[in-house]
Amino acid sequence: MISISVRLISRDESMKRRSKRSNELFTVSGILLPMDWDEDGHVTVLALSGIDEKEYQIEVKDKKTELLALLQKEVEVTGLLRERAGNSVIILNNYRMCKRNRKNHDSDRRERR
Amino acid sequence: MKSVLIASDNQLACQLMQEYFSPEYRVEVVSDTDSCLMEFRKKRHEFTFIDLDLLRAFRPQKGRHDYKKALEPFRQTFPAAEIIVLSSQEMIREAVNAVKAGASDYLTYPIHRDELRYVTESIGESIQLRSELNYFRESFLEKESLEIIQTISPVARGIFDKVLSVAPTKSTVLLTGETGTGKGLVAKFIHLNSQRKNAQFISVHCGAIPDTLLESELFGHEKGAFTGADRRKLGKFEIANKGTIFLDEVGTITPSAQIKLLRILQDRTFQRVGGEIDVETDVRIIAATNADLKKLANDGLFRSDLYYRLSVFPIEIPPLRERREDISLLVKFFLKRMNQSYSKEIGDVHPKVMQAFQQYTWPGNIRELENLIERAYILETSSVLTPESFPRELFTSEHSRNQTPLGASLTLAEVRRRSVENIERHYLRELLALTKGKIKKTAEAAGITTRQLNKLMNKYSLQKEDFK
Repeated sequence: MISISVRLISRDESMKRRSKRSNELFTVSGILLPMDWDEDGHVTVLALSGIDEKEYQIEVKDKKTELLALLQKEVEVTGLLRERAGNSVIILNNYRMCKRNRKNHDSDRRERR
Repeated sequence: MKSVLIASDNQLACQLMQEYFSPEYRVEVVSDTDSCLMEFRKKRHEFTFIDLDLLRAFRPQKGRHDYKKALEPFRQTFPAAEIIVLSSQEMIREAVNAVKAGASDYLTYPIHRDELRYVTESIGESIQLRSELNYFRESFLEKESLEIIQTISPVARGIFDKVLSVAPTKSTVLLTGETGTGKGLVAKFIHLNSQRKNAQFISVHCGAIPDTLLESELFGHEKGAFTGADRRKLGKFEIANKGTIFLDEVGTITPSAQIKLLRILQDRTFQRVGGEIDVETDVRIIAATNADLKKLANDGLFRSDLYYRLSVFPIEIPPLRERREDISLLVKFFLKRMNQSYSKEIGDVHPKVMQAFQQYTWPGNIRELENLIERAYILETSSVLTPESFPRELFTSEHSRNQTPLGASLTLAEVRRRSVENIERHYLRELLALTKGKIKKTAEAAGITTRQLNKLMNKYSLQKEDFK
């Protein structure tokens, strides 16, 4: 299992509190960033930085490659929120790009082509 | 470990203070003048509490007591020591005189925890204030308008969208781009659009600080850390706590400073130079460089792990030649600002000047444009900036290079001469832009003497001020 750390924008504090106690899904958005690297400089941990300066960690079973393509983009992630070693951790269930960035991302891809 | 020295024979007071400071501080208790001075000279204590009678015993005399002289042996050892006088209620007047003579504060017997806390916290705050004041004296934050990030260029628009999206987060940002592209302004913009906008924005030009002083500037130093460190100094990272620090030319920092910076990025702690205590800081880091950090890292000149952590959100500011659409916007902005500062009313720029601006390569980017406008503004006597107020070569060299064919009527020697001149001119421009107009550095980089450089600069009407 790849551990992915994500810092997130919290949109709903009450929702977050509920999620900490239960198995309810938690959804937040922020900018996806690298958080740790291996010796060769490959990203091993990702981060999502939020407007309230909150930091979360996310565990990802798959989709790592997909997420790596979204580095420095604004994305919304959904998952289970947990507390581990002083860090908030989200076990990733799903993600999607935020609308504004999707437009930019598409134009970036067009440019690359 | 931090320490406190208590010189008093009041058992109750000593016991209370010992309980108050333990276990965070090592507490040394003495009860006579000799051991007091001996302990004091051994190491620097955070606080030194001295009974008023003991203090008077350092310079016993009849009549009015000279506390300045009594404090002298302490000041000679550690000029910035925080000395708190302990006095009885009846001797308050004398305690005040001791404070006037240079003691930090006084406390009266019986000592109360609240008063002790108040006095020590006030001293801590005043140390912080002193350091902040020092900083602001050194570099006054000029309030620059953020209109400069207005753009009609699609390239720049995309960049500023990124800037806007990252600004409210805590993410470290690495700004790259040629000199004069406005990296400092973008950093300030990010700070003003973050949750930290009400806290400090501390800008450090790493390249301008000698290597030997850099660590002390960034991380502070303890008293006695090195020759001349006669008092504790807080570093920029400590002053910027809760705010943003902008590290310009981050690629120039020394390897040991790189290690310390890496530690801050990893666990938000550092140690002052000569210190052993971990200091926590909650600071957002924005770094900037016009060097290729990745290449520096690959070449072993910059730590790779630090490079990764700095470049989690890289933003490349485009050079002015790639956003020529913005030139007129920037010109208007500079004119507006100058009209506010000077008693002139210059509202426009001659079309010929604008045409030349559009053809110019702008090696010094926005800073060069600003300098050109400012110089012309000062020289201009009409209400429009005319070509006469600008350097001639702005209209000749670029124009001839881009527009005028060399012509078959010229001899080969003449064509060669003109080509060499053009190349020399552009080479020197780029070099001067890189060195920010520093003559010695430019001459060294070009492999010529400063005298030769000056001669060439005169020949091509190049002014070092245009590149600062």
